[in-house]
Amino acid sequence: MSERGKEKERDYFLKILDIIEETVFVIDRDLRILDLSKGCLNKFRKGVEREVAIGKKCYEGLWGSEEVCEGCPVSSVFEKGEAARIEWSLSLSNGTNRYFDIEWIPLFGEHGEVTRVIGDIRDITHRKEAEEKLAKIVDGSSIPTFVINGEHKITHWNAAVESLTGLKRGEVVGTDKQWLPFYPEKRPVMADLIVDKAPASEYEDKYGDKYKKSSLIEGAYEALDFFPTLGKGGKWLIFTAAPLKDSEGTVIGALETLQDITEQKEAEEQSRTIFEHVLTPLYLIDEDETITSVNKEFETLSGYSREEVVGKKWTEFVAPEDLERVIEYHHNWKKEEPPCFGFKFVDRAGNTREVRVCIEPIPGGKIKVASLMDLTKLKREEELCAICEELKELDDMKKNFLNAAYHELRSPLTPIVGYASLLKCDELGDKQRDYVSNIEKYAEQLRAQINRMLELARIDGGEIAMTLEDVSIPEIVNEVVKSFKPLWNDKEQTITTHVSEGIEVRGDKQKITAIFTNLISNAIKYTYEGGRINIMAVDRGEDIRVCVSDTGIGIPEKHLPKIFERFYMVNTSLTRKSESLGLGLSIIREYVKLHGGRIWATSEHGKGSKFFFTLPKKEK
Amino acid sequence: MRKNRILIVEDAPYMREMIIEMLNHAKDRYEVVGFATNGKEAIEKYSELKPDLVTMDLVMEEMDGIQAIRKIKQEDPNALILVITAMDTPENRNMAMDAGADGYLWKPFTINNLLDVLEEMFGKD
Repeated sequence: MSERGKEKERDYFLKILDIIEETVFVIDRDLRILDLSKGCLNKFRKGVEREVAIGKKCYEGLWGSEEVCEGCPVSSVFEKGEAARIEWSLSLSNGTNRYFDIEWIPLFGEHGEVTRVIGDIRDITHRKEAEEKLAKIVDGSSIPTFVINGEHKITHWNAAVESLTGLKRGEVVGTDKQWLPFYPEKRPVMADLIVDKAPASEYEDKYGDKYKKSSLIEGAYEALDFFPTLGKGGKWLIFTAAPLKDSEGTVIGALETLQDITEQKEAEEQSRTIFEHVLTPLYLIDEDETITSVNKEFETLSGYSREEVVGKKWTEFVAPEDLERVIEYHHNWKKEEPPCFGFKFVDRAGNTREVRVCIEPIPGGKIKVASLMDLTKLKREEELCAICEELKELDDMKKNFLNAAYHELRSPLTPIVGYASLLKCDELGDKQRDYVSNIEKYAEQLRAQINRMLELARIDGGEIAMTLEDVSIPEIVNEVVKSFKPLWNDKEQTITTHVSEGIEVRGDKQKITAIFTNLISNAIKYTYEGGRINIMAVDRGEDIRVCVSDTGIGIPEKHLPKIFERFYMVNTSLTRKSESLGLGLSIIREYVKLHGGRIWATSEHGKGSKFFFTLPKKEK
Repeated sequence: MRKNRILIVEDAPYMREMIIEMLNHAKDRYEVVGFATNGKEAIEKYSELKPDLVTMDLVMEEMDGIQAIRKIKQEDPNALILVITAMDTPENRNMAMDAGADGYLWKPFTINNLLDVLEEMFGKD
């Protein structure tokens, strides 16, 4: 390029520098100012001619400093030929402190070497001050708060959010780990969506119906959610994210605050659960007497579902004849009176019942809670209670009666038995001897019957003690069968037993013997001459099952479920000898039950019966 | 052969009579020396008569049989006492045995029941 050409270029250059407001200057390797823009002069050396500044070192010529600025990157820009950027805080000659963002751009000569460097200064004091102010606000706030910048990097993480999340600021500031305390894997948090200016669909995708636009802050969103990994048992948080904008309105970051409402939420859940499950019909009404909510018990009482009831006036449930009185009382109600009164409640089916209602305002709101007492139900329960009492008295009377009857019956039986035995000591004719035998036989039956009554009375009174031991079933079966030998021999019956040697149960030997005695004697009694009786015991693993079967008269099917009831008699012509069925089976059923077992019977009328029962196995 | 002297403690007159009648059938072995109608009387009669055996009812006014047994056994540990009762529950039997009764007979009973138990009790000596 010719000298003239260079001259011309320089003129253009100066003209540009003259008109632009930007603070731009050019320096050489020695940091001497070669050129500077008008804006530069206006900013730093107001009223000074450009020529005064030119040729001076940049720090001296621009801001009158005597020393090279700390961390000056210019020499490295000359060496490497790469642009550099640095933020500087400067105390100006007028005493103010300002922040500058200076970009250094290398200019290259003909051989590719850096000949000059352009300094482009931007005043970022406003931004810096705003940032510092923000830091002060955020760090000083007791509300858990964090801030991310336009690159989604955390810039602020205050002490409150540290204690909420357990993450220290040193671990997260400068990273994009804002999701870490809240979610199991990386995902955008609300502040990220704000920075990205995400559309509503994105919020919906991330928060479902748990989010809404903030009504207070423009462009802010809030949401309520439960975070199971926070704290001991998870936390309920309301989080609000708002955009941070620069002076031109550009979003440069976002601030998110978190509010821990776990305690309120738990209290709320508690109240809701109590409201829902308390056994008192409850409904909530607002200022104009409209029902806003009802509980399960109210649904039961009224017969309406809550959907049908909410939105109705509660006075719709008042019977017409009571309506005026109820409204008057309710409206004229004064604080010193109890807020309770009675009326007739009309349910969905149109039935009326007497109720008493108490209406209490919930403090701090306009909602009142009304609780109902169903007086009709209460009355019915009282009546039932009275019946129960009477039944209990009757039961006590029965017990006392049985005890008394037992002793009263037993006392005269003693001389009957005693004197009959004395009579036999004298010389008697054959007839008289028969008579005395009959007296003795029936006295013995009476004694046995009285004993059964007493036994049942004692079972009912819980007075039966169990003496538990390991009991051998084959031993008992053999003894009982042997003791009845005269009877079954007389009737020419065959008794077979299928009981394995080692079968043992855990139980009360006396009572188990009584069970076998009763079943085997019944089998003998109700089986024809020449019939067969079989006794079987099987180890079924979890228990021992016994079956006493016969080829006797059997029991009609309709009687089967009732034969273990007290004094139940199977009345057929074939069973006129059924006198002792009355209590024996009841007693052995109680004995089996005391052992935790079960007893039942099957029968084919005319062909025979099978009695089954189970007993617990011997302890290992 | 010396007869065994028996004291009957029983509040029902017909029971006393019946026991006496039964023992009359074994006159050669037993002699009824007296009777008492309650526990307190029984203790007095025992120290007065020094019988070989006492038949003792359990349910009586004034003092019950269990207490009487205890008192008599305290005075004379060698006393022979036969409890005759309708209260034939295991608890009652245990209570009587704990108090020191030597034999037990349930009501109702026959003459043979009574004589058998007496024979057994005297046979033990």
